Amino acid sequence: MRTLILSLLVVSSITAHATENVVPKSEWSAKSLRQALESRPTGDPLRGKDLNTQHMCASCHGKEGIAPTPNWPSVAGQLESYTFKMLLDYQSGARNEDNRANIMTAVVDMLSPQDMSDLASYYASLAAPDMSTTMPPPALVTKGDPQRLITPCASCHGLTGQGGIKGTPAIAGQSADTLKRALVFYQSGERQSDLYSVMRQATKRLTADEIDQLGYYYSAQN
Amino acid sequence: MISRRNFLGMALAAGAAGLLPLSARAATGKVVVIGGGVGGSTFAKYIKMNAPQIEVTIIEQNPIYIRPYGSSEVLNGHIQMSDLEVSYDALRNKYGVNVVVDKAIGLDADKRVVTTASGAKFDYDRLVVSPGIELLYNRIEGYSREIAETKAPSGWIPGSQTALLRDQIRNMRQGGTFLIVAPPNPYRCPPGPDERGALVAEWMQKYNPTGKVIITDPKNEFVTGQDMRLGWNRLYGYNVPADMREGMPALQQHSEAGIIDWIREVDGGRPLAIDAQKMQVETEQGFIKADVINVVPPMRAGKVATAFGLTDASGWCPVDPYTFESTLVSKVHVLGDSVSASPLPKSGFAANNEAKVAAYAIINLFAGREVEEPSWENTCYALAGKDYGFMVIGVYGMRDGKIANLPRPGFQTLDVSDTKHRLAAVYQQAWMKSFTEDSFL
Repeated sequence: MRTLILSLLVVSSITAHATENVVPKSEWSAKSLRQALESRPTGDPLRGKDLNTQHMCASCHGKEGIAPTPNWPSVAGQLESYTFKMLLDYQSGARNEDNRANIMTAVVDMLSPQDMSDLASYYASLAAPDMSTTMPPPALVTKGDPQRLITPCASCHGLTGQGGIKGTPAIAGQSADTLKRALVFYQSGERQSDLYSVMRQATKRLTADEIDQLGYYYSAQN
Repeated sequence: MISRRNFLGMALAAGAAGLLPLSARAATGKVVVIGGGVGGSTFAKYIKMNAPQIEVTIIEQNPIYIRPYGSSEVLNGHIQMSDLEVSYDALRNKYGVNVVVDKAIGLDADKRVVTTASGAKFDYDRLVVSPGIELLYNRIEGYSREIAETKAPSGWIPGSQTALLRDQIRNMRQGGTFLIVAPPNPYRCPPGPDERGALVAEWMQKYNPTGKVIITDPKNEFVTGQDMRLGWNRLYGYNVPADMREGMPALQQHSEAGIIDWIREVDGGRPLAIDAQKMQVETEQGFIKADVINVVPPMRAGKVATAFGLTDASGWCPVDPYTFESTLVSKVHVLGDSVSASPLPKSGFAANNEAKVAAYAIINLFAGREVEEPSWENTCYALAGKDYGFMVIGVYGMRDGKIANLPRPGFQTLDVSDTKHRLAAVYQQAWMKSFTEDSFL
């Protein structure tokens, strides 16, 4: 655990230099995020289930939180805090990297904090997608690359993408397209919803092949 | 007759193109497409994407396509006329389609040759006719093409009439009336006339708040009817008729007349005659005076389909749903609004799907393979306002030798939440782009 925290700190201090100019003023700090998460209303998963249909979430993310096509992310089994944060980020416009994000903003505009919390708790109550295979993890997942200052993915997202370490999202079983899109948008800086630019920094020196490989690996986990 | 390079090569090898026996062409062939709209363009693109060796020529009268889908948004300034223009460059340069600007005027179905206005002849193994619609201006007393182009535009085929109508609406006096004469079934773009009414009502709220929109209709219902009436009720002070409230969510009861009114057939909405001098329309319930009159006349299959003997008594073209080959003239296929393929609607979306079915069928036919069982889908997006939309979705397949509606998953109850309306408006805008891309680019 100690090493994990250390590596995160290392990454954070690097990014403080690297991205000084691109960090928007509205960006989260650990403190403001913690406060936002702590002060969120208690979620009601049953109400969240209704909202999932009423607000058309289900038309892309599935009735049970599993997206029916690879075009959209699955949300089942996702950390409640992560879903809630994402919805806040869409609402504030902090996530606006592409038209998909704009669709989310149009929807989330109409949600109250209670609605967001209900949805987040509903998705958290569902079983994450199971796409598991017996593929060995790529070295970037287990070891990262010290030469390029790339932290092992597993140090925050877990070896099988279960997430939850330092508040990171679960990514196991997510569609490869969704994962690759996230990495590409972090890499280009179009997506800026990561705390302290951790993901922007981690992806900065990835090759396109590595992005493919990571997307494929985590999409095949349970 | 224009030969593309690969064909020229084959022709040289064989001595003369005209003498080339069909069997020597094996899985390839020559297709001529009349009409470069959604049907013809999607067809040409999908043939070339999947079987680039097939020679495809589009004969189209206009050098630039002006898209009809979404064109009512010109009337209220959401978009400009130039936003409707779609180039044929991608079809030519990216896909190798031979796009010829000319007009098809003659067909010899036995010799399989099409003649054009410029005197060129195009021979084919398969002919695809996708000419859209012909507006029957003269079917309404007092109305004509000339009046449509000068006084009371239709704008149902976009172009100068669309621009004229836009200008008339903009220049209308404060408190004036914009009257839409809706068409009888079947017609292109089922939610279109009522969507147009809503868009102009939205514009009036801002620029002519004492103005009125009246839709006079020979029908009692239209596609997206409940959704549209709910939108009108919420946005434009429209009171839903008492006998149409069943199954609807709580409606607002407006004490004053709203901006928009819809006169159904049962209420005497059927139009009888148009007087462009007095600017009034006679309907079964009486005369309606207006400042701007927009007539969507009855319609039938595009002129060339009628001229080539592809239509039946209904005015539309019967086809085999597996291939979209005409049941009247062999080796000639018909696509899009001209086809009678109910329950497939007369929409661009349906034309695009029909084109893909026909493209795959013709590739299979050229290769000597069996034609696959087709399926189709359709989505009609409609707006009641810029940020208020809805959609109808259909999935279709073959049942007992006929095209049938299939069950589909859906989250589209009438009033699920405001999200539905906001999202549909977002989707509608995205669809305009991605649909054009899929069909032409």
